[in-house]
Amino acid sequence: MTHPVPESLVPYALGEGNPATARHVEGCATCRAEVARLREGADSLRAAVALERRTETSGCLDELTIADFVMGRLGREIRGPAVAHLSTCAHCRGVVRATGRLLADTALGPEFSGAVPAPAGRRWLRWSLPLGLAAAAALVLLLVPRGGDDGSTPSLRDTTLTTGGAPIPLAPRASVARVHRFVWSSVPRAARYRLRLYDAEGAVLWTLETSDTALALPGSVKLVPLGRYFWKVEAQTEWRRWTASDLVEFTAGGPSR
Amino acid sequence: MVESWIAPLEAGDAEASWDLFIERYRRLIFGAIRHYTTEPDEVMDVFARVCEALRGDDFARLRRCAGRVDPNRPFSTWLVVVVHNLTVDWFRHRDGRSRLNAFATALPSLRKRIFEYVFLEQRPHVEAYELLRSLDGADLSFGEFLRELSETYRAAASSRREPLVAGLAGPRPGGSLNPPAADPAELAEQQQVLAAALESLPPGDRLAVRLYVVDEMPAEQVARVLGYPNAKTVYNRVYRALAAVRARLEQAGIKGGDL
Repeated sequence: MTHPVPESLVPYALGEGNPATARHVEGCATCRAEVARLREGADSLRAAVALERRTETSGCLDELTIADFVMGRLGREIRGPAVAHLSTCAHCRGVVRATGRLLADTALGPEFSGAVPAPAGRRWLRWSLPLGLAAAAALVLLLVPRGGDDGSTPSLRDTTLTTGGAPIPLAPRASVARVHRFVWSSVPRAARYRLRLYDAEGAVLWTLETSDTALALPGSVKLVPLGRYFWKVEAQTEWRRWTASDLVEFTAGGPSR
Repeated sequence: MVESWIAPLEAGDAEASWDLFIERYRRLIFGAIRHYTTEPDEVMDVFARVCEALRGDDFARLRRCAGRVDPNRPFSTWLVVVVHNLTVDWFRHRDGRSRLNAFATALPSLRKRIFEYVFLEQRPHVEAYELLRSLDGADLSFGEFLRELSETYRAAASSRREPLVAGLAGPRPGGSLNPPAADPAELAEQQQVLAAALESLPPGDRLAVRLYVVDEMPAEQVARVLGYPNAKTVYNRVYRALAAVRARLEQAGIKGGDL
């Protein structure tokens, strides 16, 4: 029996129907087993999505870089860092995926090809009503302080309208059976977070910074069963500006509450 | 393709530049918005928001892009990225939120909260789980949460707002819905093994795997963005990557269905 080349089983295993491959797999135990192994590997990767960070950070790619990446036109000097970032950033990959879908939208095809008729007079005036509304909205927005860059460097896309605040320690709290990681709520536009763990005497047992909203407790930090501990997390929202959470107490090694 | 709006912008006539720009690209902007919604009021509101954002700060966004336009770099692709981001933001944060709430209201209460945390507030999944337990008082294991999360994604995907929802929430967490480690910490440990397996791959292959397998991008698109000759190269790289992942997991004693 002639088997298809192994990599040709990949699209079939991941849901792309191919009648010829399907017929072969149906009658071939070897290839059926290979398809099962491929699906197992894919399943494990997809399960990891549950733990991926999905929020935008200061390290995320700007719109021009994403556009260049989607078109396969990234410059050599930026390609390495962009690829490395995309491998770990579900947010930016989501924008890449959405852009790809838009580019593939057949309804938009003529617009991308530039087949736009030459303007005839001031036809844009038809849109003066929504633009007037936009101007009114812009006036309202001018009254609302907004952060973001000053436009001097190509960087993040414009910030969204969100409220700030301090992070909220979520876990561990009170009595827990064991502690593997610390989790807290995200703060809009926070560049990074700093966690501090204290013992009952107030001594700092461990401190670490991260751009994520969770940190695993390292093996080097040993918690005494039923000992009292405190922790807090600070969010860096601007240069040299940190907002701190409340101090939260927990006890490890007891019944969970 | 000559971008006729750039010269007047650089010469200081921003309004003339804007006239040329909107005349040239309004159809593209409307088309991109309609990819996410076809409700006429929503389309117009988002269009107004896009115009406001592009005109804001003395056309800062357009000026930034104008400085990097060249004949080999289609401006339209950048514009599509901008429209996508602004459309998703509009639905998530401003008037559009009430439009999405109509969808969320029809969900069972737990999935409604999941939708709000994950889709609207963009909380990481683990954070949403901890918020449900600590602030909402939900008594559920991580495994139960993952099942509810998956069902919430499924409900959103089957709604008429699927492209928008995909933009809000990203890829649906999949894989086994019954991990023996119904605890984010243990799942994280297993994922570290997975990450180590992927680390052994070249960076491009790592990204190819994520784009094709996790984000479900078509292989032809993955090939284009990564500079591979064709889709077959993507299949080849993904095949090698999945084999490496499987071998590493078996080495660590993690079998299928454990994740």
